Amino acid sequence: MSHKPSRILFPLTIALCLLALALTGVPQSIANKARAIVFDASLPGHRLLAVARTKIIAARERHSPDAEHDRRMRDLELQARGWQQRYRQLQAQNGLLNEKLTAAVRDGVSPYRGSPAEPLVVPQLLQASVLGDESAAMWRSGTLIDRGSADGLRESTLVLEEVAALVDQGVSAGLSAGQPIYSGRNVVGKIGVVGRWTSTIQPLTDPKFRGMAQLARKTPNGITFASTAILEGTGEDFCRLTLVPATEAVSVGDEVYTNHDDSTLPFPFFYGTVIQADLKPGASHWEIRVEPAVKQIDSHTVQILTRSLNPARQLAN
Amino acid sequence: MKHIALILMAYVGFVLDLGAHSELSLNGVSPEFLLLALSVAATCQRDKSAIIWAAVIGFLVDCISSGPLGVTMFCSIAAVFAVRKMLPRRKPYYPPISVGICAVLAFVVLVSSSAARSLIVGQAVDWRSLLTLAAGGAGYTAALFTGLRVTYGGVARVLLRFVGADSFRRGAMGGRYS
Repeated sequence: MSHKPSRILFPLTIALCLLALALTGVPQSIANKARAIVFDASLPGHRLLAVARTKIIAARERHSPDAEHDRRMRDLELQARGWQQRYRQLQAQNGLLNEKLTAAVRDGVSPYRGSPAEPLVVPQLLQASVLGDESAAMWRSGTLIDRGSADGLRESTLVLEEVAALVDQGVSAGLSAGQPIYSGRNVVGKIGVVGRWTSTIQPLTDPKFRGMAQLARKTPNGITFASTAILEGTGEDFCRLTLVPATEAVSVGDEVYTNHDDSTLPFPFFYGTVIQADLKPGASHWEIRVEPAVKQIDSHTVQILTRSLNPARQLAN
Repeated sequence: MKHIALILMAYVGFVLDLGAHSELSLNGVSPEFLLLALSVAATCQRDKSAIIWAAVIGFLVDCISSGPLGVTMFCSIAAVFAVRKMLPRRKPYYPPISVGICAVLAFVVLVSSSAARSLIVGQAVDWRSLLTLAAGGAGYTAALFTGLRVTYGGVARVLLRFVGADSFRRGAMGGRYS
């Protein structure tokens, strides 16, 4: 079994170390492409793992004496979350209507009557299965999902929490798809690395996460959207809201939404709630901490907000 | 045969590290399956192969970590090289030594790569939590390594009895249990 130490061990080690050092200098876009290839290659293994996980959970539930109780608890939790989402959705719509009313009072009513045209681009929700789990420990980052560029995904696309009950409630309440039924939903993160068949989700708390945000203050008439700011991940359990001028009134409990003035995101989506707001003497901006609505993805699916050409407009043309 | 086993182990390790990392955690301590494969490569492969495997597995760990590529790859190569220089492999390591190598390798790679990443992105290193997490992860990984060796030894013994395969006599994981 004994063998002489290899002569090329030292040069090989030096060469591979140099290669590793060279890789640290590779641009992020190229590094992400390499990651995407490796993730795509691991897809069959993840599919097998997902099947095994489902079977294990089913077997555990079959043999658990509290299976019925657990199922009912889960259903109730889902229902509660659905109602929370519904509340947030109505609140966001109320905020938008408040904004329109304020603008109408300020600018007056237009002398010309117009009817709203069909939008050229309509939002679409793409469902994706969560393949990996999110774990911030030891620099692990990103949750793997089974959608990629083959499904039309691009980097920085918004990822929303999946709440099936919400859609049911929306439909039963007379809301149609493509309308602000999307608004008020919890943001999970953005699409990070995009492979052909897989992608990773960059969570809100990721140190590299940046997103346009808008503060919403609670008033007796509902919420009022305030100034635009930037939400930044910190690598910890909370996010930071920057660029909120000292002249703004901010208090703990205010809500943070995506910037709906941005034409790419027509509806406000919910980021989280302000948990700390400090204004140091002489400072030009607030120091705000935000608790994300979704700290960890605990469902097996998420929804990705994509856009497509409106078929009604295509037919009209 | 050893290389095929390591390819399989690295693939499974990658999938589990990415897909079941937190599900398998105990009190916040998670196993590092890719570092388990690294330990197997470091203790069972010849010098040259061990270094190449360290580079490949380090690269895979980099793929599932945030920040630049190459950091864990560098740390893994350096750690395996140090192990091979300090403990030349003239014969199979004794099981306790293999387990010790696994724990030390996992700990050193976890601490050095995490600290290096923090320094690269300009974040302060929280040494206390880093060392605690790394020690827990290394311990968990070493426990899995022990389980793997014992399982391999048991399977090899059974196969030896029925098949008498020579490869098992030599032992793909060091041969101590065969």
